[in-house]
Amino acid sequence: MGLTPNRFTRMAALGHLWKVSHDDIVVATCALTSRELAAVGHRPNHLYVLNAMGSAVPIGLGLALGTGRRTWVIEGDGGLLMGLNALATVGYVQPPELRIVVLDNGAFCSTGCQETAAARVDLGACAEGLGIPVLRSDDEEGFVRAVDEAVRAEGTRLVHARIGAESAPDVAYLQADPAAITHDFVRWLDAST
Amino acid sequence: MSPEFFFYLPCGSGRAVFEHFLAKSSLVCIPLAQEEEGVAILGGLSLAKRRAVMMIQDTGLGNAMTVLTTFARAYHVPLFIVATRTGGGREINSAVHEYSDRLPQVLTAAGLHHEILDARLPVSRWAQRLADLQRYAHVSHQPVIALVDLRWD
Repeated sequence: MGLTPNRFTRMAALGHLWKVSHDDIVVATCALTSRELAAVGHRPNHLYVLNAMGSAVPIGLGLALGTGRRTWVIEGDGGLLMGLNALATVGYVQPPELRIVVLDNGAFCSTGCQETAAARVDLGACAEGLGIPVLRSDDEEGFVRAVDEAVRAEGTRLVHARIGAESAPDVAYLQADPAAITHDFVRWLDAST
Repeated sequence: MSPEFFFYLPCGSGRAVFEHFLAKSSLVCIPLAQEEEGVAILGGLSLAKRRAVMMIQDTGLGNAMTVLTTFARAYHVPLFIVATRTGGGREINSAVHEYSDRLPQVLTAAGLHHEILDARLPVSRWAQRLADLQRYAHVSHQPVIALVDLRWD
């Protein structure tokens, strides 16, 4: 299957998620996803996971469980595969406020777009097999529809979005002290609860 | 300790402790698929100021090393882990010594605060010591690990 021939970019997907998540918790996976989300527009409700690849989903699970607030986890196919077991725990717990968005281009695009297993494996089907309701999209229109449905849904949802391999050019590195990220995020969480 | 959430990957030597927690109706008990995700879930709950504890075998700390250092420590997220000790003279697994014997040095090298509780501390003082370690995690904003040896006579 190889890289997805798709003109829908990660940046476009993040732009739509940014519009719908201003009052929600947002956990973003490492590398280009966090960097592009910050470039779309940094907000203190963003928890950028700068390393710990594969941990965005379980961090979001803990936050959704602990706060009862809508929590978006933005993960890539590579990161999800690194912590695929966490989907089993999500399926077990079924936290009603958790929304997982998997931006799947079938490649490790932060390191040069080497193929991931997702190029041949259907991650949405994996999630469904673990009891998580899945909304699928292959283009921008479908993504907007899927995310809007996830906003309205009651119960855990996973949006499996096929995207292209293109990344935004010249996006700045995130080099904030992680402790400062925690400080800003927790201050926002306390103030908005 | 009064946790609200109990995450676990069980261990034969700690069976009675696991079953004690699992029998508590006031506690949300969640089985883990792997220790790394447990640290991450505990981290999320900690940021939400909820009380949670994870009980695992110490062998699982190796699985969780990256998230312990680059998330829990780097982001100053307090969390408390109880890990049952493996290895030593009463171990039945002939492969695990290579890991278990060196684990305390590995944790020290990684900057992960830990303390061993075994027969050297009277069991009557364990509850207070565990509560102190949990409190220390919160006041020092870091992960704290209690390595407990439950293989008593």
